[in-house]
Amino acid sequence: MLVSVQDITAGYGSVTVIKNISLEVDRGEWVAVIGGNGAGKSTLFRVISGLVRPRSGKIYFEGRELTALPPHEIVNKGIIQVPEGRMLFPKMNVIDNLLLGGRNRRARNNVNESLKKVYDLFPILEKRASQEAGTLSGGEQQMLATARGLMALPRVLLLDEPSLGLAPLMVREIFNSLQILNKEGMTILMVEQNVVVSLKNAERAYVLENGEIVMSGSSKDLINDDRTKQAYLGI
Amino acid sequence: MGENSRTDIKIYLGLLVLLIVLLLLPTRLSITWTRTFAMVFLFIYWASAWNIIGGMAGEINFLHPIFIGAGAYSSTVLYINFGVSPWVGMFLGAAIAVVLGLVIGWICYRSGLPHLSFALICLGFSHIGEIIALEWDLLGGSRGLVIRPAPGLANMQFETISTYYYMGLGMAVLMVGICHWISRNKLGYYLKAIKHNETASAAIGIDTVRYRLLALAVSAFFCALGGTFYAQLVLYIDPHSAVSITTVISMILFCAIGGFGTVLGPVVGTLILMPIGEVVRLYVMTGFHLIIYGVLVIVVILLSPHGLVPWFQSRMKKTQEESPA
Amino acid sequence: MDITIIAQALIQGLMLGAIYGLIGLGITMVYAITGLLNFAHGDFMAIAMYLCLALFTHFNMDPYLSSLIAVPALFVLGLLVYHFLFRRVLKAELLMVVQLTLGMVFIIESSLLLTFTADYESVPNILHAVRFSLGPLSVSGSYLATFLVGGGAGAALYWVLQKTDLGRQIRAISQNKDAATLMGINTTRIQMIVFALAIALLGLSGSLTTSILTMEPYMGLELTLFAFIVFVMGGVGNFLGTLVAGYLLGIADAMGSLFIGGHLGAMVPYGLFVLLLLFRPQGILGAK
Repeated sequence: MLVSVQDITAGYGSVTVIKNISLEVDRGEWVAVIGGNGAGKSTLFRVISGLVRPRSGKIYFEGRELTALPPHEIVNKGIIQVPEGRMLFPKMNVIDNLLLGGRNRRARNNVNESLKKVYDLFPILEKRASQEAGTLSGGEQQMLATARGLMALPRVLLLDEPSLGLAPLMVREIFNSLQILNKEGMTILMVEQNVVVSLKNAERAYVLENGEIVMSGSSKDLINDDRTKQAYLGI
Repeated sequence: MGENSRTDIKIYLGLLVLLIVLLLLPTRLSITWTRTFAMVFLFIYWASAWNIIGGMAGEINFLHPIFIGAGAYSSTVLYINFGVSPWVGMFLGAAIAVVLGLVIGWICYRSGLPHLSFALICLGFSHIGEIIALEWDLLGGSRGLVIRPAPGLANMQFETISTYYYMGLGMAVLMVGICHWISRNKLGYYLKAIKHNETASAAIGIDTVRYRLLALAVSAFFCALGGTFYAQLVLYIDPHSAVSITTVISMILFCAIGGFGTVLGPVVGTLILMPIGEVVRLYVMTGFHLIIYGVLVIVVILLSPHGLVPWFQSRMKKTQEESPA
Repeated sequence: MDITIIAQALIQGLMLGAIYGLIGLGITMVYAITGLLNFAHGDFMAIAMYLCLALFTHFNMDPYLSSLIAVPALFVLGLLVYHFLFRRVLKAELLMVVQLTLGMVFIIESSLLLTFTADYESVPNILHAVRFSLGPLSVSGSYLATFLVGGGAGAALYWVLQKTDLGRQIRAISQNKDAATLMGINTTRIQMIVFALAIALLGLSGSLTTSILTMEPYMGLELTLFAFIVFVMGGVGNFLGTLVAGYLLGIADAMGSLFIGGHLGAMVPYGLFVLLLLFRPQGILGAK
């Protein structure tokens, strides 16, 4: 297993947001965590990236424990998060945003090649290179956020709500690019509210409800499961 | 609720005992220490007055050197030049302080300045106030003003230092009572709401500018009266002592140690810090007492960020919960 | 009023302004990435100046030479103060931080008073008596050096912020700290370095101005006030605005002492600040 989350419980202050969560992601896999608002998806990602310390439980990456590391060391290991709401640096231009993405220890010697690669994947970014990130459209911002993540040469890419606030056409474009990446061997762990898009793209999925995992399995099985159909697909 | 009021009763009993001790104390104290305690009471009074606008409304307000200066200089100038009794002059000083506070406050609150800019403007105004006192001949410039001793009730000057002591004590008790009353009334609740979230307070219909101005006016009024008392106690004022930024910083630090926005915070903070400071100043070295203040404040903030009174209250609550009666 | 006198004052103002900008830039950088406001900022400059005084009285060392000691010494002092104090109040409310630093003001000012007495002091440097003339205008060597080194340091720092990886990291933290962390930036380390750097800049400013500004133990709070004014005037958190505001304040200061003089003249910068805040509360270059 590349990533192994074991029995994680975490929250803020006296509030517990996620309880006893365990999940696994294998090399080259695309795994989705599905759940509505407040289910604890973003908290899970913040714990994996080290921004929030778990109350209990452990996280392993290639068999080594991550839980005690400071966030920047977790990034240096290649666990790269593209956060919810994109969290770009709005007053910096596109290039500076991308360069910041590619400054971790593993990626910094590879910046020029990475830049070329993300421009191939998202040609519009090259056109916007000297524009401030805050002035881009929503779709372009999501592309920049994803590209910034790729600049970091991820060994596993954590995508937090990549479809959030985007028009259907733009969602399709982003996910096409992600499909290409995954085919090339990129491991993806994604949290999403959009159940249809998730199950269409990911191989496996976990369903998160009120901070706990209530269901898991291959996307094919989940899409045909009556409970999923009723609760999430509205059919 | 019942437990709460029991805690309150304990606190008030403690205060009563403290008050009785303080009332009997002058018979046992040397003149120096009686004088020192008169000054301690003045600072309890000032710090409590600052706490209305600074602690309860949560402003970083440095305007008080102006208010204190207005009180001290008005009564002294009137007394020296025109023979007007300080009992009358102090109200002119208070009126000037209120007007200055309202004008500066109105300008700043209306434009919705962020806390920091407001704090800086206050510091700037206080600095300007100090410069005016330095430059204006009527105010004695840097030489200051000396009040010739002429004991008499009408001159607010007393033969024995213990009279100042009791007057200071009375002022402190009065001020704490006023703060207690404010904290239990509409003004106090509104100030707390404004401190917590000014935008939200405005949204639920609190006229935030009006209540901040009201708090500032009350604070300015009483600080100025204290300024007159200061001048009569020391019988000498100059820009560095009467329009002093160090004084307001001391007041803020006393509140910080005791607990911002709590009624008893300024009392506890001043009663702990100032006597320690005075011992150090008298028996170790002048100037060293400010270092002690600084160190104590830093220690308290690092260990108990909200001050001693809230810390003590939460401790008492805990022990009560652990041993249900 | 003779035009050369005005020009003379303008030059002098620009030269002092370089230092105001430098002091303010320290505050701006620290605020941008930690949200901390240090009311003892100016007192650290006073420490640097008194360090130069001590080195001068005991070893006859020129203040310019002393800067080689003052800058690293203040950098280390900054690291220590950050590690033991500021780091612990990063998440506290603003009022707490204000008190903590006001406590430091008392400690530093009283320590200086006890060590060096309340006497006014200044330390001459090698360029103090040298005057450079251009036509009718003439300027003292120490002012010119202050301008060149101080202004140069300000400009260099601005370049670092805009063009280097360190600068990009600093700007990233100031725009979104969590996102910066997710880029693999060690935010804790950068915050500590920037704080120490801001204090080290005061070491430089202090050793440059020992012959220009009169030293006294309580000077720190007024320097802090000037630094804050520059910080707010420039548009809170705006690096370029801070430098511009520094020069503006320097000119206002020089004009005030030229046309009005004395204590009243010293009020001109505050007056300018109050006016600016009333009509443009977001500062010169700040966005609304």
